Amino acid sequence: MTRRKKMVERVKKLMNKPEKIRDIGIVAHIDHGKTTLTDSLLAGAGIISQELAGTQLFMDYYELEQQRGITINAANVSMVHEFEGEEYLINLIDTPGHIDFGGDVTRAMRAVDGAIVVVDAVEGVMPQTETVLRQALRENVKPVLFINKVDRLINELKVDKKEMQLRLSKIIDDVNELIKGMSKEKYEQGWKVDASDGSVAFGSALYKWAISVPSMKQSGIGFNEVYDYCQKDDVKSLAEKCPLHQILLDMVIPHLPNPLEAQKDRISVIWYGDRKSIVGEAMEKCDPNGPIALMVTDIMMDPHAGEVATGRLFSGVLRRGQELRVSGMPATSRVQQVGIFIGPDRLEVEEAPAGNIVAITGIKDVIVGSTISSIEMTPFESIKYVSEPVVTVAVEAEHTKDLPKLIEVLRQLSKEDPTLKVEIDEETGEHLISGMGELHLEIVAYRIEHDHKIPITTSPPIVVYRETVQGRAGPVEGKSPNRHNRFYITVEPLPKEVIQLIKSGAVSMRVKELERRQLLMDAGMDKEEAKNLAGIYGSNVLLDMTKGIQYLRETMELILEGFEDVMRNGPLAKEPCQGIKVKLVDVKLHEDAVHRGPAQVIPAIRHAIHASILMANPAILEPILDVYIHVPADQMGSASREIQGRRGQILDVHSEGDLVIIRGKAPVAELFGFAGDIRSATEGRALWSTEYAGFEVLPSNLQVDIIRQIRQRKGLKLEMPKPSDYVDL
Amino acid sequence: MKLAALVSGGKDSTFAMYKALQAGHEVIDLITIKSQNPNSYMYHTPNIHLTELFSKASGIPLLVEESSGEKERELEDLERALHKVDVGGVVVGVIESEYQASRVERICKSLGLDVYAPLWHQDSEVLLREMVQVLDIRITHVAAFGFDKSWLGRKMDEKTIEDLKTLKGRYGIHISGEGGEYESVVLDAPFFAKKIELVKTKKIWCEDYGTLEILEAMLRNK
Ligand SMILES: Nc1nc2c(ncn2[C@@H]2O[C@H](COP(=O)(O)OP(=O)(O)O)[C@@H](O)[C@H]2O)c(=O)[nH]1
Repeated sequence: MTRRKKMVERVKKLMNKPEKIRDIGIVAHIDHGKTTLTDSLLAGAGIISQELAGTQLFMDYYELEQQRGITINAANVSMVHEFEGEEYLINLIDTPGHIDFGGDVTRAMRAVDGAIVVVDAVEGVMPQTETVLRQALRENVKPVLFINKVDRLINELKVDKKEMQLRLSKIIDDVNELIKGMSKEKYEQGWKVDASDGSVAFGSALYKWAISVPSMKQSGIGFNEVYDYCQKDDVKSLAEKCPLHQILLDMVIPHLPNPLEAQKDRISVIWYGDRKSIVGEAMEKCDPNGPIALMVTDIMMDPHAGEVATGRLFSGVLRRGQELRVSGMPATSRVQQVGIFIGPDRLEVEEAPAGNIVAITGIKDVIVGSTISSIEMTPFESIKYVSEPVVTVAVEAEHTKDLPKLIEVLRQLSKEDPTLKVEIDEETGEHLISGMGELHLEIVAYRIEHDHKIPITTSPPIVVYRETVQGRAGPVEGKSPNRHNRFYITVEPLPKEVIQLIKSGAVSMRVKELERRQLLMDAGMDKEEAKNLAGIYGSNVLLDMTKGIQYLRETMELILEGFEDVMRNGPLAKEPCQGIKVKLVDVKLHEDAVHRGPAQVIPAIRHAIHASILMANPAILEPILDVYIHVPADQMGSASREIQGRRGQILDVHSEGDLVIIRGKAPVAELFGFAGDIRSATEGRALWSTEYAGFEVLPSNLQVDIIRQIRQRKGLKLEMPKPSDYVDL
Repeated sequence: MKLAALVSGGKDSTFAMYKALQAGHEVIDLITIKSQNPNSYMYHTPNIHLTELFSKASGIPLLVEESSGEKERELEDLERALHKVDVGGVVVGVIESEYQASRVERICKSLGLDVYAPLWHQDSEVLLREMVQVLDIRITHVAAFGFDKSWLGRKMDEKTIEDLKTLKGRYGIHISGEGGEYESVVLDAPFFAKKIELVKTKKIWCEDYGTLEILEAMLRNK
């Protein structure tokens, strides 16, 4: 039997023993070595040749990522590892490390039960170490720690043995500090990482060696020995005596939970349905005899198999030919192929049971985040993204003949990457793509041109703004064009706590009414209002405060349509609204249904809301990014100036060793071109990253200019809109 | 049978009257209710003054009943008018409005009159196509999302019907304007001895509705 065949047999056997499975991810700040670690693990586990690992970046699918050294797409690879005489199947979901792909990270977290947190021994804990750790803990994913690049401490920084120990324990302390800060409860329950119990390992992903307290006892190789080998430049012996994959997977197996243990605790965090229902109980038990419950974390187009959905199977056994439903879709579809992973390849199997990362084809209308099930079930909560799109570019096919292909590719890309939004501008017919930053969209454009071979032109990036109100107004009367229907509307700002609840996904129209009401009341919403929630759009709500109005029920759908339309296109500049509480306080309807159709009700509602917003001290909000810059102390001035010169603000400066860490924030609008500017300002010595920091009110001296600018770009009337444009005052 | 026609000067009442004549009925009176309420539920209001020319053009006497336009009182006004004529029934142009139909029905019943509603529940599109064959219809008022100023004064023809269908698909309007989406005047009909000519008009447009005000109109030989 060939080696590969043997591997297939072993994987097939293990996939039926959930106690022998670990579904894990690797998370790290950019450049701390996640990709290198992944490759070295795969190489060690005999999936790719030892020599190739390190040069052939396995999980990076795209050239561009390699050029930039950024991993983009979450995909799965599997490994078989022997621990204490037993074989285990380890599924490794690749999680991207760059903030521009924050959505992917969160998504992947939900499919795994544990994570290896990689921290660079030289740089120590960085902002995104904190972000990814926070994401992990929020999804109830247990961490273990790998301190990477220990060779650099010895060979480049030339620290002595004592200093090395000190630096390493400082990193462990820093990580524990973060864990404790994020969840004291979990920290005390044993989620603290601890070198002495083996939940921390030290090593070099590049040179493929690692040590941990348990491994020291076995191999006799401790810090002293490591230090000496490194100094002698004999990493080869080190890699033979304490191979990286061995030590790391030996750490994973006892310290990270198997699906049986994990699902018991995690289902209640990542799923909002009734835990006592059939599906709920089956998932908590990881029951192969239960109904199918699969959460999709990735969609990829395969040239042969078509659309491949990858995800975590929480209950049931997947088989070809099963009729499954996709959350939110009316029709069922039939499973064509079921696959599991052998290394990075998909292997078709007859069936795959709960606890595995599986791939299926044949399911229609599935998107990343969909729930696929065999019986009607509450879908997994909408995946909580930490960020929302903040930059838009228009893309155009260079040759008109490519247009249909471009449309198809955009549709596909937005399926694969849910942080990417694709829209068609109805007026101009342009295709607009919105994403997490300038870089994110550059990569999308690159993929369209290089992977899909469609020459395109892109417009300069445009900032996505929001509209909101800072005061209250109303009741304002909106009349239908035929004057027979009247709607009375008030608007006011929605409290921050409520906005937060909506943005986090905790409150949505999918959440059960009583539960929703309670959450809203806990966030400070008036009981009467919480009870009358009629719709949510973006982070805006519509409350129906009327009582006993005839025909209102049958008209509500149209009212919601009008409401949503305004929330999508605010009155100031047709930008989306944010944080507005719209109340319907009274309604007069024509008793004849034909007089209150969509062409009457929708405009009436729109006019009333438009005018109310304009009367409630409206404002444009702009997206802000937190900027973290690590620079040598002598470059601090130039780096700070790069932030301050961009309407930015320095929030904190502190030094760590010879490095200064600057934390600041600046508007997205001013950050275009930041990468190049900071590079030249600091002779390329600054390491920086950004994080989405929400929307803030645009300074008042810029409001009018920006509104006019957007209106001009969109071909709207240049005059500032007035309430009297919409209603009789 | 001798009938009175409830007319507004618009396409539906005129076409209903035409159908009645075609069916061999005799229309001996025209009744117009002139409402003070510009947003009346029951009666056509824009350019109602044109019904006088309509009466002259068709040679049928016109009875104008003033109405306060208060919601339920509007019916008493109709009842009052019907007492003044000597007919066996009333012809009305209602197509789908339950509100209008049920109320006219009730009053007529109490007076022992027949209701003749030849358009009732007919397919709107088929009706419109028939109408544009025989009537010269102009749009005088629009009030629904999707219309713009260019609709005011437009002559109804096949193209107009197609455009109305597009708006129906897009915004859910009723293509005959039963939901108050638009109003019309008829300038010529087969039973007119003379046709009406608009001499002076004015378009008035507000955000999403507008009216073609007819300032001056006259009769002309056909
Ligand atoms: N000296 C040294 N370099 C490493 C080690 N691990 C990774 N690197 C280098 O660090 C850089 C970033 O690593 P990569 O795996 O791409 O980081 P990622 O962004 O977290 O995926 C690459 O140039 C690697 O070769 C290590 O253990 N020692």
